[in-house]
Amino acid sequence: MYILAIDTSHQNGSVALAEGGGAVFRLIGQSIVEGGTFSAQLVPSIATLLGKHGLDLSKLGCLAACVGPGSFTGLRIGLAAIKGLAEVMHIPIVGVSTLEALAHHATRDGLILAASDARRSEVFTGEYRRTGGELRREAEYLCTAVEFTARIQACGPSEVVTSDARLAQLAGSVHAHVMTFSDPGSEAVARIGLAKFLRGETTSVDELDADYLRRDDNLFFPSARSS
Amino acid sequence: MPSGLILGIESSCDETAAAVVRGGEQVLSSVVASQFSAHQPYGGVVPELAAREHLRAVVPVVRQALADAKVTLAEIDAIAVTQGPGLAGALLVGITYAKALGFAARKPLIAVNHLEGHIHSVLLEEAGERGQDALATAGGTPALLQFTAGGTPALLQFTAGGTLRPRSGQTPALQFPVLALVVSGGHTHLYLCETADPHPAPKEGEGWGTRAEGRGARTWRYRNIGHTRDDAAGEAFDKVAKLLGLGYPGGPIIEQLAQHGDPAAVHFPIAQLKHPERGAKAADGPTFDFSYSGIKTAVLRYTETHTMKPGIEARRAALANVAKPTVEQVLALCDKATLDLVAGFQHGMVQDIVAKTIAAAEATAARTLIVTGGVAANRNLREEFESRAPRSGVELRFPSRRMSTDNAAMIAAAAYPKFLAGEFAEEGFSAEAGMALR
Repeated sequence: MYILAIDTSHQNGSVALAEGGGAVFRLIGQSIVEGGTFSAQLVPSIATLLGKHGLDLSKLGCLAACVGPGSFTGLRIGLAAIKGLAEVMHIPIVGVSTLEALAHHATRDGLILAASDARRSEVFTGEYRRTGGELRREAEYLCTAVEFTARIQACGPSEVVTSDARLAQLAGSVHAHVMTFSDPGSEAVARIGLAKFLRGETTSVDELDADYLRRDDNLFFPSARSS
Repeated sequence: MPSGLILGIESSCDETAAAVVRGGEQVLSSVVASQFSAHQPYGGVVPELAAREHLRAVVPVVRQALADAKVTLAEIDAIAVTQGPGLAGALLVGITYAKALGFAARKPLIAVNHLEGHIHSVLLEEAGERGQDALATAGGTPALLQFTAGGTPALLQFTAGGTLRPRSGQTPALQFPVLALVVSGGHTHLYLCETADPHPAPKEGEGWGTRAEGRGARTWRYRNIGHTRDDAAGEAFDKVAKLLGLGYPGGPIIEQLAQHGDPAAVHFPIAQLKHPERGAKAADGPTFDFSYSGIKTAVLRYTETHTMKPGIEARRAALANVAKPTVEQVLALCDKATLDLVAGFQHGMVQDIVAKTIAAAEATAARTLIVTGGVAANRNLREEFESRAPRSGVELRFPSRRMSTDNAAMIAAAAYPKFLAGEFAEEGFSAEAGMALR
């Protein structure tokens, strides 16, 4: 079965085309969508990627969308594209958390903290329990940088996973074992998406929505908006 | 064989809309999901909130538009979407969804300027209903959020009850040059419109350049000859309503309250713009600019010098506890001085808009005057234009009151000449928040 995955939650977006079923997963191809060009280039990139591998939308068995948290506009572009494709082709959709895609890169079992920059000195934090390589979500929340380090000290995670250099430094300052790498990317979204699809965790076109993980009223007052 | 059906998608501000229009005129469906209640607590449109609501609404709204029109996406010739101007985050949702739909369903995309849509909204109910008729048929009923034409092939129009009836006869085609006033909460623009063949036959000795299939089809060309230097007219209505404690949006409530006041009691003169705009070149020809921040400040000063503040605060406090106040409830909280001020403000606005627009129509020898946009739903404005336009020999056209405000049928209508001319969007197009109309 073929799966198409989109990650537009960060500065560097990407689209992945993969094949899998059961325990098998094979990345067929991936293309980068540069930040600032998502709305212009995302759909053309999908068309090019499929064409390059001799596939078209009708061959896809599943679409995996990165639902957030992350760049609000980026998330919406990715989700609007997924919605449009699924609406016409009737392809099942799975939504994947950005933080789960991060936690997917963990190398140790135990409590994993996945962290991404939420700006305004805040951190999108995901707590996942990793057992024998399997991840189970415990919580996802928004906290301040101070709360983030306090949480590391309080719970002593076996690993902190982030793609942000500043957060890696912050976690390192309280002696956490830190795993860093570049953006989670669409490959991880495809892998997690496939597993979720096989478990039957799909969502409908109209239910698919972004998980902004930030819904405070202050955001909506222009004077309080900083980003 | 083309069906002439275009699916329009609009998400430039706080309304998610989709519509199916045949041949640029026949509205088969028009669905508008208003985000009004989401923004009301903030006293204005919140961009981030608008974008979030669009993402939620776009799928059901497009589905409804296709279902109401009783057509499938496969039967559509092209998908038209608003490219700008508007809120970038809001536009991106509609554009990306349209692109994905178009790619999956193998339909070409047409990028439409929102203001061009407003101008084309007059074509949607052209036959048999001129300004006065449209005003009469729309009379008094609140704007319906959607309507269905079913499979009726005849041209359709609204009646007061919200039902549809086939139109009779055809009105003459638009006479060019057309002067178009787009007047809303975000825009106060005057455009001089002409049509041109985008693919003229090559002159002798020149090669055959552009695609041949669109040759002969004429598309519209626009020249901006006036705009507001500061606030849009609709913005002035909203701001004055806010400062008088009347709630949001301001247009409808001011129009209703003004009926109970004396428009001559408080005089607001026409704004005189003595200096050309900075950077404007004389070679660009005369411009007919507007300015509405002054009248808003004049209303504020009036409330201060006539000790109206306590009354305003009392009204604001009283209305804060009512989710959706009725006109009667607001009216009961207004004294005569407030009603007179509201009536005087609306009168001043209408006089200013009409005087400047008519002057521009005369100066440009326009044969048709189109007045469109949310503020064009104001009855006083329509009546004033109707009394003044005949004296200038210009034929006046309004969209129906329903089609005056943001909708997607107008986007599909504006896309139709482009469809005939083969003017499709590049695959890499994106939102243009500050898009100019040319």
